[in-house]
Amino acid sequence: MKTRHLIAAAILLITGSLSANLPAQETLKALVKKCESMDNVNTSVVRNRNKQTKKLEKEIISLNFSNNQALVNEFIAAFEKDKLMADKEIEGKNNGKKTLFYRFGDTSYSFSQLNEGSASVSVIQKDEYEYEE
Amino acid sequence: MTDRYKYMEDLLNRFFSGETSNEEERELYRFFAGEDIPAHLRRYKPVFSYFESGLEKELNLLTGEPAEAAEPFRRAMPKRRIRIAAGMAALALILSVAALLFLRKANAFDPYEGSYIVRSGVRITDTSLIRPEIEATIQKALQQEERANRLLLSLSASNPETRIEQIQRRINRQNEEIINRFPNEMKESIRRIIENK
Repeated sequence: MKTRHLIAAAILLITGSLSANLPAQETLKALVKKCESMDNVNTSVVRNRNKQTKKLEKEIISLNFSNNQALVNEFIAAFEKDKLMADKEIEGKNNGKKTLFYRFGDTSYSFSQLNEGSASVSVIQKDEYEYEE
Repeated sequence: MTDRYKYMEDLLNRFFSGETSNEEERELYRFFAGEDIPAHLRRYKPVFSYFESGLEKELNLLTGEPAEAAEPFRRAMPKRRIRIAAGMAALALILSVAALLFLRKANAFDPYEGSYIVRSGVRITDTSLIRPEIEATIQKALQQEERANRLLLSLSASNPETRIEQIQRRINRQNEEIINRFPNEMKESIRRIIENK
């Protein structure tokens, strides 16, 4: 075995243990966070708790913006960047408007391009996700 | 009754002459303490009231003894009881109010606590004000997800992903997570090593 492979294996072992909790959708997550502090983005953050257990069941983040083609492009690029990490993805195009849906474990991201420079983004994070395998 | 009044008049005369016994004097006190006193003897009632209580108090003051030593104790007891009862009532009131507040808080559980909206840079956290937006957001997000789920199901039915493909996807995902741990300038080298290029 080549020395290069041994080094690679060592690196993988060390970093693999460190990266276990890394979010798969880090680009999208960072962009959503950035949008929450932008004045021209309408943000709704809904935290839904179970009435019996009072435990957080679901968190929904909804972003709506218009007249911001740069942000539309930024979202499309972020989806593209995190695509490889997604468990499931759907990409559609209707009349030149992009629709994207990516699922990363218990979190799903939806993107709908509305008009030129307008889009709607939803993030749903569930406490326990039911996978469809 | 007239005989009794005559007897009392006789007793009264002997009392003022200082000839009565203790028992006879007690009889006089009892008589004047009552209500059935003939009109011509009523003027002596205050005198006997004085002899019965006022004189005793004055004598006690002269001798330095507390007037009616037992009375303060008798009076103190009800006051103490009142204080205890008032304390217990106050405690019961505090506990009732606390229980009421606790129950109200428990009943007023807000499933959307921590939710907020940002409109034109203004953050609104009062969930009672933003409830329509909250419910609309939930509806919209769930509809989007439902549509996506239906699409995923139809896609997987027409083009099912094999188990090997699923495993390969997960390996790729883990590799990407590892690569992302490194600085940008190193990422390509690490990717080449991992992919054995």
